[in-house]
Amino acid sequence: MMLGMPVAYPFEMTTSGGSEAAVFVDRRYCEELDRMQEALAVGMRPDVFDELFAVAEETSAAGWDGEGAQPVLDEAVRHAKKILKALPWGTKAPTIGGIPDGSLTLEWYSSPTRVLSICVGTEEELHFAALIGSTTIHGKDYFVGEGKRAILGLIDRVERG
Amino acid sequence: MVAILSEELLARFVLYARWIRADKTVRSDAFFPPPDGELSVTRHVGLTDLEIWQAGQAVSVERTLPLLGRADFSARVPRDLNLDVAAKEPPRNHAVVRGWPVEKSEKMILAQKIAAKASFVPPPILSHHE
Repeated sequence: MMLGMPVAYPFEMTTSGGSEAAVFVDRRYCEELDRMQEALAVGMRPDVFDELFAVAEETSAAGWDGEGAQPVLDEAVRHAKKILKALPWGTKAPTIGGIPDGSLTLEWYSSPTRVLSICVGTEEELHFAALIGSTTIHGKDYFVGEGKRAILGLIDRVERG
Repeated sequence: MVAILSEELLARFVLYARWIRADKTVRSDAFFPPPDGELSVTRHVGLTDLEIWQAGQAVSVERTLPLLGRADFSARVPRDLNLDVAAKEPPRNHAVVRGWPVEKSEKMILAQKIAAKASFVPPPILSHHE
């Protein structure tokens, strides 16, 4: 299977026929293949996408933090999923969270002073902040080209700690 | 207005489970300011530990979310980051951390620095009398 390529579902290997049971089995099989592809995209922790959707659910209503937080919109979830899928093979999966402005956060964490947070909102542009010992690096960028390379570099620096 | 000493401890009550990491440290998300720019905290001064938890419980009831713990840090931490810590009562001992920069990634880094200095305290185990 080539990473990043759509899965060609081998329907000929699945149950044939039009019964409800056959359709159910086919659907579950395709869902599992999707799940495997998502796991391969990140290289580990197949539950990171489950975590993303769980956070999306928890933060979908205004005031989800009890303090007037804005809801996390579907567009932000789509952007976060796109970033997770774009991580190279072997990259440690982040943990997922949310902040009151309605953004999702992806966190790579080794210790309280070795941590990278990426905020993903409804805009393609993301905001990031890294605390690596006494060094702080923060800014905004797109997760493509040089911006992506810079953020992957930060992930590596946090993880090497 | 009651002046807050930099040595004073402040508590940030945590009501969202994903703000607490598996190693019982608190994510910086818990310290990111809300849209109004005033991060709510409770001053320890003059309160017993039980009264601090009671203040947290009141917040929990008001917001209809479970109280999962609190993150303690001294007022010096945000002040050293050029943030302002000011009393804002009622309720008793309520204060806010304000004066956040406009740029989002700058807020994020400040929240990370506060989180790095904060200590997570789980809620006390309640005794059950049957």
